[in-house]
Parts: sequence; C-alpha cells; structure tokens
Amino acid sequence: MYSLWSNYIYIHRELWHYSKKPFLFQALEIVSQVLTGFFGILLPAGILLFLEQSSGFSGFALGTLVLFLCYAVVFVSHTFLQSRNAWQYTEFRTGFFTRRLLCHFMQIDYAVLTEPKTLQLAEKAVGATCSNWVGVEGMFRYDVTIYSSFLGLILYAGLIGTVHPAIILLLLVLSVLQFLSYRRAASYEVRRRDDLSEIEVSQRYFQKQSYNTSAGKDIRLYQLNGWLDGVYRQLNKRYQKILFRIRSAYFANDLLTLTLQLLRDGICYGFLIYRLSHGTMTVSGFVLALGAVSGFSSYFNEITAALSKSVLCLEQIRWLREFFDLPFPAGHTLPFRPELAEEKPLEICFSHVSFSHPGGDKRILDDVSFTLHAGEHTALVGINGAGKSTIVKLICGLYQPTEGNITINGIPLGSLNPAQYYKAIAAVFQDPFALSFSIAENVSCSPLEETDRNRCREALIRAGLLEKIASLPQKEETYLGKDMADDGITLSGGEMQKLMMARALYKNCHLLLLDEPTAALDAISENKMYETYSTLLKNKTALFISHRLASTRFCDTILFLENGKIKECGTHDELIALGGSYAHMFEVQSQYYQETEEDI
Amino acid sequence: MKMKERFHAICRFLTMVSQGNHRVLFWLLGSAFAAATLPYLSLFFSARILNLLLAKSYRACLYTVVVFLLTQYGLGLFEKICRQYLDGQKELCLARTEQKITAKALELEFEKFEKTETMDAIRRTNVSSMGSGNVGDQLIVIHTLITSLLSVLYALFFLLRLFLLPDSSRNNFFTSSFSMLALLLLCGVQLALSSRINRRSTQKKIELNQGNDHSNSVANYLVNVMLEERRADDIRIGHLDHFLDVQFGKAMEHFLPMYLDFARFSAITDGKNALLSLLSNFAAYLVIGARALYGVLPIGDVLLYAGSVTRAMSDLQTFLATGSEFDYINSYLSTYEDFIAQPSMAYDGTLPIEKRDDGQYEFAFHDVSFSYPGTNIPVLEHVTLSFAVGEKTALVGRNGAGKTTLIKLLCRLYEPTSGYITLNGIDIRKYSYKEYTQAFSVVFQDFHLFSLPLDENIAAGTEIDEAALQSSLAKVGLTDRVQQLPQGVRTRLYNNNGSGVDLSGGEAQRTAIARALYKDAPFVILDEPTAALDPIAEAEIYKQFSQMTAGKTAVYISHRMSSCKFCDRIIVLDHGRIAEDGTHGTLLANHGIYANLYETQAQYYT
Repeated sequence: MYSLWSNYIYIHRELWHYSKKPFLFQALEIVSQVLTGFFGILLPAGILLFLEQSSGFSGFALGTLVLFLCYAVVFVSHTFLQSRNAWQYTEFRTGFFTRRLLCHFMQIDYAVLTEPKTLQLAEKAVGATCSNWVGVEGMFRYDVTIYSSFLGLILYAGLIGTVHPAIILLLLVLSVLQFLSYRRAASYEVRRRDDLSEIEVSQRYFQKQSYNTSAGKDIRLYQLNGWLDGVYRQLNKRYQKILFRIRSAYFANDLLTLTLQLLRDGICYGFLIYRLSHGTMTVSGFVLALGAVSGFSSYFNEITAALSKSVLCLEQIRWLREFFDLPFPAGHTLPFRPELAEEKPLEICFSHVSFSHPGGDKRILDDVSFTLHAGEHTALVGINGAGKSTIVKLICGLYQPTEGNITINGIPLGSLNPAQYYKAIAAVFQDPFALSFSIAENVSCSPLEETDRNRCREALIRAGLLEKIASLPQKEETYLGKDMADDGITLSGGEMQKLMMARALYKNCHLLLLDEPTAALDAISENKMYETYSTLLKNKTALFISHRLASTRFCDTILFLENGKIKECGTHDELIALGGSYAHMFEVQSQYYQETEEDI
Repeated sequence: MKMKERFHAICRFLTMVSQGNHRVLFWLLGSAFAAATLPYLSLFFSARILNLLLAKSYRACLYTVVVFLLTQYGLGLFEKICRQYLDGQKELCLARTEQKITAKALELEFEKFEKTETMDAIRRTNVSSMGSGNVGDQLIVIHTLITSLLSVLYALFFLLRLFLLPDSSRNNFFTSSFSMLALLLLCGVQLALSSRINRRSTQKKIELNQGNDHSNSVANYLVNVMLEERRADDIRIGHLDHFLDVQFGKAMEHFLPMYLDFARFSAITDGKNALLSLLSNFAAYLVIGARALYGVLPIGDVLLYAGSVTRAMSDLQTFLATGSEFDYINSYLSTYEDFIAQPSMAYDGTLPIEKRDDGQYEFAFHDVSFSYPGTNIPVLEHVTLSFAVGEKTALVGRNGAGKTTLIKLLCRLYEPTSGYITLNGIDIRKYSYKEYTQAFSVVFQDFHLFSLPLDENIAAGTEIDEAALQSSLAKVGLTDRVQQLPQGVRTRLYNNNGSGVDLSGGEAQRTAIARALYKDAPFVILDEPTAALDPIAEAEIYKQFSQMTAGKTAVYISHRMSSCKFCDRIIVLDHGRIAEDGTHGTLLANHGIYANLYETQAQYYT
C-alpha cells in the first residue's frame, strides 16, 4: 500500500527521469501566476493613488505606464506559460505512461491478468492515464494551483498584516470553516461517485450493444429495443437522482461560503472605513487592502479545491503503481535454453497435474498424466466443461499447475523463459485473432520492415492461401478489416484458419495447439483443412481439440477427458474396442450417419 | 459560421437537450444573467463607495456598503443555485443524449445500421467529443456565450453614460469626445487584430484534428486490441506485444510532434492576445483617469468605467472565441443531432399480420437476387422457393453459399436487390415490421444475449410468463443449471454490466434456443444452433428438435449433415443459387453437392 506522499514523490521522480525541462517551466508559471494576481490588485490601487495625489497629468500618465509595463511582462509571460505548459504534461502522460501501461498489460502473467480484480485494477490504471485533469496529468496541473495559491496566500497575508494582524486571524478562521464545509461536500461526492461509476459501466454497456451488429439482428427480430431502452432510461433516472444529491451538497457548501463571505466583507469594510474616518489610511490603501482580502480568500478556496482533487489524483497514481507491480510471468528473466532451440518437435509430459483457479476450490483438472510424444498428433476429446481448454492453457504456460509437473523435452516448463518457449509453439483458438494490419504482418506478427518476405510467402503458399493472395491487387500487403484501411478485406472462416496456419508455419513452431479450429467450416472445407493439417504438421507435435470426432481419425492418440480426469487413452480403434465413454460419444454422433433402409 | 446560422445551431442544440426538460432553459438564462450582473454590481457599488469615501461622507458610505453586500449576497445565491443545477444538467444532458443515440441505433433499419459509415460516424463523434467537447461541454459553452454577451451589453450601457457626461470647464483633448472616440477606435483595432489571430488559430486547430483523424483512429484501435482481455492469450503466444507496441509508437510519433507544435503555436497566440488586451486596458485607464483628473467625473468612477472597458474587451474576446469553440464542437455534435433526428424505421409497411392459431404462414421467394449494398458481388441469384406450412426444411451449402443471407432477407434485415418475398401472397414489405417479426423465432449463428437477468433475456422483456419460461428452460436442458445459479432465473448473465455469471458457449447457445422457444412463433429458424455443443449435448438437441418445432414451419442451417435427416426437405445452395432441392434420400441418390457433403462427413463414421 503506497502512501499519498510516496505517490507524490514517485510521479515527480518519473517526470524528472523523463525530462527535466517541465520543472523549470512549471516554476516559472507558478511565479508568473502569483505576480499576475498581485498586479491585478495593485493596478487599480496604484491608479487611484496617482489620481489622489493629483500630481498632474504627466505624473499620472507616467505612473500608469510603468505599472502597465510591469503588469504586461508578468501577464503575457503567464498567459504564454499556462498555454504552453498544458501540453508538457499531456506529452508525458501519453508519450510515456500510456505506452508503458499498454505494454505492461500485454506482458504480465496471464493467470494474474485473468483474475477479475486485476481487470478492475487495470481499468482504474487506465482511468489514471486517460485524460487531462485526472491521475498523472491532473497531479501536475493541480500542483501549479497549489503552489501558486500557497505563495499568494503568504504574499497577501503579509499585505493584510500591515493593516492589522487580527484580520489575518479572522480570514484564517473563516477559511478553515470554508475548508471544512467544502471537504464535506467533496467527500459526499466521492462516496456517491462509486454509485455513479457503477451506473456508468452499465451505460457504456448499453451503448456498446447498440453498435454490435450481431446483437442488432436479435434486437430487431425479438423487438428487444423497448426492453433495453427501458432499462437504460431507468439507469438514467437513478443517475439523475444521485447527480442532484451531489449538486445539492455542493449548494449547501455554496450557501455557507457566501454567508461567510458576507460576514468577512462586512467586517473588513467596516474596519477599513473606520480606519479611513480616523485618517489612518488612504483610499488607495483601502482599495489595496480590500483586494488583498478577497485575493486571500479566493486563493484559499483554490487551494482547498486543488488539494482535495490532487488527493484523488494521487489515489489514482497509487492504482497505476499497483498495476505496474503486477508480476511478469515466472521465468521471464531466465536465460534461453540451447536444448530447446534445436530444430526438433517437442515432447510434452504431464505428470500428476491438477489445476484449480486461484481462490476457487473446484478442481478443473485432477491428477492428469499423459505425454504428447514428439512428432505425434493427439486429439483431446470430452464434453463441454471437461477441462480441455485448461489443458491447452497449461501447455502454453499461461496457467501454472496447482500440483504436479509439466515438462517440455524433459525440461520443467517452469524453468523455461516464456519468450523462448513461445517462439517454439503456436496456438489456434476457436475464434482466430487477426489484426487489422496487412496480411504479411499478420503472418509474421512483426512490423513489415522486420518481416522476412520470402518466408512469409512460403508460409502462405504452404497454408494454401496463395490463390487468394494472388487475386488481391496489393497481394500480401493488403489490409485485413476496415479499422485501418478503407480497402481492407474480410477473410472467410476457412481463409482465416489458413492464415493462422501460415502464422504457425512462419514461426516454424515445433508444437501446435488447435482448439476447435474448424467449428465454423462446412464439411468439405473441414475435411480439406484436416488433410492440410496432417500433411503440414508432419513431424510436428500437435494437439487437436474438436467436437467432431471425425477429426480424431487424423490423430495417432486420443485422450478422453471427463470431469477433469483422463478417462481413456489410446488409438481410435483401441478406444472403440474398449467400449467406454469415447465409444459412446462416437456412437451418438455416428448414428446420424448410418444409412438406414428408409433413407435409401 | 454566420451569426444567424450560429443562432439556429444554438436553438437546435438547446431543443435537442431540453426535450422533456424545459427548465434547463430557465436555469441557463438565470445563471447567465446573474453571472454577467455580479461583476458590474461590484464595479458600480465600489465606485460609489470610493466616491463617498473620497468625499469623507462615511455614514452614507456604510449604508451603501450594506446595500451592496446584501444585494451581492442575494444575487450570488441565485447564481449558485442556477450554476449547480446547470452543472448537474451538464452531465445529465450527456447521459440523456447517449441514451437517445442508443435508442435510435436500436430501432434503426438494420441495413442502415450495419452500414459502417453510419455507426462509424457516431463512433468517431464519440471519440472526438472526448477530446474536443461533448454535449455537456457544449451546454456550458452556450452559457459562456450568453453570459459574455450580456456582460458586453452592461459595459455598453456604462460607456454610453460616460459619453453623455457633461464636459467640464477645462477644454483639452482628454475632456473632449475625441479622446473617447480615439479609445473606441483603439478598441476596434485591437478586436480586429485579435479576431484575425483567433481565426488563424481555429483554422490551425481544425487542420490539426483533421490531420490526426487517421492516427487517432489507429491509436484507438490499437489501445482497444491491447486491452482486450480475451486476446491476451493470442498476444502472449504470438509475441504480438512487440508488434502492437511498435505500431502504437508509430501512431504516437505521428501525432505527438504535431500536438507539441500546435502547443507552441497556441501559446504564442495566447501571449499575443494577452498583450493586445493590455493595450486597450492601458488606454482606458489613461483616458478615463485623465478625465477624472480634469474633473469630468469623480475619481471613484475611474475604476467603474475603465473596469467596464476592460471587461467589455475581454468579454467580447470571450464571446468571439467561445463562438468559434461552439462552431467547432457543433461540427462534431451535429452528427448526433442528425443521427437522432433521422426517421426510425424506414420500413414503409403498415399492415398487421393475420393472427392465426393454426400457424398458416406461408413464405415464398419470387426470383430474388441480392448483393450487399455497395458491392456488385451477387450473394443470391434468382432464388425462387416457398416454405410450405408445417414443413421442416434444411438449408445446406458450402461456406459463403448464401444461406445466412437468405435468412436475413426473409427476416427483412435486408431487402432484395431484385425480386420479392411474400407472406401468404402479400409482399412482406407491406407489413408493419414490428408485427412481421412476431412470426419468427430465430437463433442466429452469432446470436446475442445481454448482460441482464436470465429470465428477461429469455422473455425478451421484463414481463415474464413463469410457466413458459420454465418449460423452455426444461426443453433445452438448462433447468438444473439455472437452479444452481446464485439468484436462479433472476441471475444476471456475464460480467460486463456489473457482476453476473459466465455461461459456457454451449450454455449460451441453449439459452438462445430457449429464447426462441419462449417466443413460440409459428416460423422457426435455427442457424447452426449446435456449433458450440459437444456431441452428447448436440444429440439431445437433435432428439428434441421435432418436439421443439412441432406444428411449426422450420428452417434449419447446419454444417453437420446428420441433422438434415430430420428435415422433410433439403435445399442446397451453391454460389447464391438453388442447386438441389429434395429429401435426404433423393439427394443422396443424385450424387450431387449434398451427397458429396454428406459422404465427406459420413466416411469417418462408417
């Protein structure tokens, strides 16, 4: 748990490492801001003084000119600095923190990432870097207000002290009251903001749904708009209620502020007029003193508001730091193992592996042992929820087993650097993930300039995508999707699978994991895909997950998973002969393909 | 933008945000009035107080102070009430507009809705309004606009009084009207100069934003991809983090220098404006001070009149700058207004559909061809077919043969490019769309459930028929699962709208089927309903298939040929045309596409 103060130090240290110039400009802005305020009250008092003394027009004109020249220097430089500096913090936020945050999100340990509380923390961390007046950037912006108000307070207190020290005391008492009242309203807002952000999550949700075209079809055919809009309107009503409660709390604060101000002005006017009537003060002194009094109060208000807001920013910075503290995957610092770099298929061995999600007591995998022999194709079969995808995640090293060991070519998975391991494996999940970049970049997973074009073409040819690519005017530089390029193309389900295959081939991986890759394909495409797989993946270790048991025919071994345990293991014929769960499942599926009398 | 156009734009905007809430206008005007009056109140009374002090009439002065402070207190309170209300409205207007846009998107014609331009425009507006000002900000901009205008009027009133003051005995440049005219002239020159400066900076701002549109959307896309939890596994295994970071870096490299450049430019612009404003400020004090020196007006009034000039100048500048800010935000926000204002359902039909208990709804395609809007590639060509009442039809074909498109046309999500579709002999376009949809229970391949309570998802609304709910849950085999849920049927699905339960792919699919069953419409369409189910669960659904569709007309799309055997009729689509039409037996005997598809799959099971 980081203290506010340590967060303050942290963010300033980070800026210091990033660039030192902002500090100089910030200091200049603070000084010019105080001076501008000061000249703002000095100016009318000074002019009155010149008029009062009636030293003739030239004296008046000269005095006014000098005053204005000084004012011009501070005012113009303040305006310039304020406008300029606003960007230096934005640059720091977007150029440094946003990028760092995104990288960290992509690199932290997967098991940690998928915990709900990590995602919440990540959302908060994103919140700390998302706009001008919050988190990282907000901190620096409020810094300026706090420091200049503080300097201003000292300056004005000095001025007022020359009239009568008791007035400082009065102002301090009133200001403290004011501060307490503001804090009450602000803390009420903070409390209710949680309710509001809960509603905002829902509002965002409904907005997102309205853009979703697959939702759009269901919405129209089931006439869901009334229902969804009704819920949305209810949300907005609740939102309105809370908002107005917050505004009322602030109005209570306003009421007190104005009353205190009335009190303050009454006393000050009275006292100053009394001094004037006794000849111990000039009218220009009166104007200056009044200016200082109201300047003191407004600085105090500003510092109050800025302090409570910068506390919120520091809180957000704490989330950011906690997010950056999330661990990288274990082993990310380990040296690369030369054994793994050899060009040979991998052998994966599970021995007595159990797995349950952190904090969850349900065992998803229970004492699972099996070996994926080097160069063999294995099918993993089981009903929904049997734990198939968990096995894939474990093989990928995304999850760590709760008990038991996984070895890769005899090396414990835990002692491999994931960066090296990921070079050797590839996975194709149910919904293939293509980026809205060029086809070549999607194959190489690297920027175009780092892509080996020949290797890329080779991979596309072998995956059977050449025909498609050759038909495109920009060949493999054609973009996918419309996000980046207006002329981006959409690949069909089968083509997408081939693209993923090309990606795996480009990588020259030694282990391929396929999680339901053909679910969306028609029978002929599916069949072709499997034939392609079995030739392309010759001499590579591969694990197939599929609901279509036909695919198991292409595999050397079948693992049948039930309730987190390997129940059966063997070739298709062995398992059919065994007459167990696999045989039953196969029976169920194949009965629809048995030719019966009536069919013919 | 011309004054008149801007006025209309303001009216349009206010009409949009004040719909169903006219009090917004009252508080907006009240707050602007009070905010404009308060500074002049203080200037006016301060001058009087100073004059009384200089004349040493302290008692009268005290009296004036009391009047001043109390008036200020009252008006101040009024201003605060208005302002707090307005600040609340600022966020509410945004929330309400977003709700209206969402509501509109939900009821827009599907074809229009799916058009990328329509939704892209809204998305882009969302993104840009985050940076340049949203609906709520615009409300405050209008507030500033009115306040500064009123404030300028006050200043004019005081300056007019200054003009009308009698000349004193001493006659020189300062006591004559020439000095005032010179002052006015200077103010005019200053305004002209600064508005030229501002025009250039606004121009540059617009250029900057337009120049960054692409990088902005690239960066947005990348951020969304990088923060997509569902893709975290792909990113790690594919080592995509490096690639994405490099691309993000490129986008940043493109726009950071541009923004920094603009920052320098606007800092200099602001500095120039500040310097200019001091010129008239100085001249005002000089001229008016001199007038006081020569006895045209009391010394205390110098602060009032010179203050008025200063305020008038700064308020005029504010007025002009806010005006262009308004135009700028408006250029984005008008996308919202246009979006909300467009007609909801351009479906012309008004006919109600016949309510029939016997489910006698017969649909027929008459020489229907279709290509997606903006493309020339025919997806369907000259399709003529009719779905006989009570018949179960399987729609078969390779990927991309046009199966799902045919369903979309039938559901009127798209209109045929040529040809027409009839229901009981009447063109479906003549029916009211809302009525028309009642004829269908559809489960699309990419069905969608909402992160709201399970029962509302199935009942498609908040009114729930408990018995029908339970029976449809039972039919898809979800009864046990639902009982285990923390709040039973009231449990919220998914976690993206507050906490709920996650459904597996298979469970979600069954829920979608349950929704179709609950609706109990005469025409059932199932588009790959078992794709995510394991063989056992799939077989269960198959078993119930005929029970689920008993007494109804049904169309079934599946890549698993085995399921076609349940159907009375099989239609094979190939490249947008009907290639084969018959029963499982006749088509197998034909040795055509169907036979090929079937045998490809069946070979593994024999």
